[in-house]
Amino acid sequence: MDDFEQFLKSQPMRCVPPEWRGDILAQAADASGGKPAAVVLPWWQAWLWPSPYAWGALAAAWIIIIGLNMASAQSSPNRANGKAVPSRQEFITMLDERRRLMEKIYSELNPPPVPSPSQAKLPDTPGVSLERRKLEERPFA
Amino acid sequence: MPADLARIYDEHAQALFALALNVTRRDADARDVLQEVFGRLAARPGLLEGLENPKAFLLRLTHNQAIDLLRRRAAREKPDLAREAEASAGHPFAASARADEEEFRRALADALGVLPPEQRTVVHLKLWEQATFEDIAQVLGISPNTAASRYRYAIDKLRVQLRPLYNEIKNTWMTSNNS
Repeated sequence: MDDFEQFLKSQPMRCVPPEWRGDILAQAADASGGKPAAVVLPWWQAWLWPSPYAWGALAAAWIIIIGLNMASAQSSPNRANGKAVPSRQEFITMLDERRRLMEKIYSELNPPPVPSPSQAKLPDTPGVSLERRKLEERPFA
Repeated sequence: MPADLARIYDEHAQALFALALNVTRRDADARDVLQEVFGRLAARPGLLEGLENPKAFLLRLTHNQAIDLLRRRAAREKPDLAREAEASAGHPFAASARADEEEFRRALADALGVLPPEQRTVVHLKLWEQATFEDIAQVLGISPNTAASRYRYAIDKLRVQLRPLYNEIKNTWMTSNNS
């Protein structure tokens, strides 16, 4: 603190007028005895100070926002059931269709193997049956 | 009249009055602020119980009331009328027998009146309540850095306005002391 600030500091403030003491204390005592609401009011004033209207408007805006949010939350499940999300039965049917389609595609891409001429079943005539039996007993003879 | 309330008044009323007067710039408003503060204390007798620094709490209460009153007054009165009323109000400093000192105190009161209330309050608490920036921060609900910067801004403005008069008084006093 420099000289200038020290000089300012040395300037004495006025004294509180002595006649105020009795009046202020008497009025304070009267107010506390006569008005029970005074006990409740200060925390409201302290809480809302310094802009009670601004706080009130903000609270009202929040109440409106919460109300709109709750209203939209109540209506949204109906909308969802109706359009966006399929039911369980529809889902199962859809899976079945998909499975059938996949089997069809797989069978078209991988046809069953055609048997070779050597493995083909020979006619069951007596002469042929004898030859066939020999082949089956001694295939490399 | 509760004895405890009277004791609080005797201990703190001077500091609360000086702050209220410096913020509101009117005797009647300073009285209203004091009335409101002591009304609250009377309504809630345990308000100061358990507080580490009751004076800081009372100064804060007084400051809040004074600012609240200033806002109500600004909404109620036209700015020109409010300025006229402030200009015609008595200054917050004690009268001096020396003419040059009295002139300086009036000039100081005027210069303080031009400052924004938040800067004026910081200067008041720092110079006339000998509060630290931490104390001021506690009273006003701001950071110590903010309190310090407000004080510096305000002192610079006061210095610009009052330096010529201050130098004149200082020279006069030095001359009279030497002779």
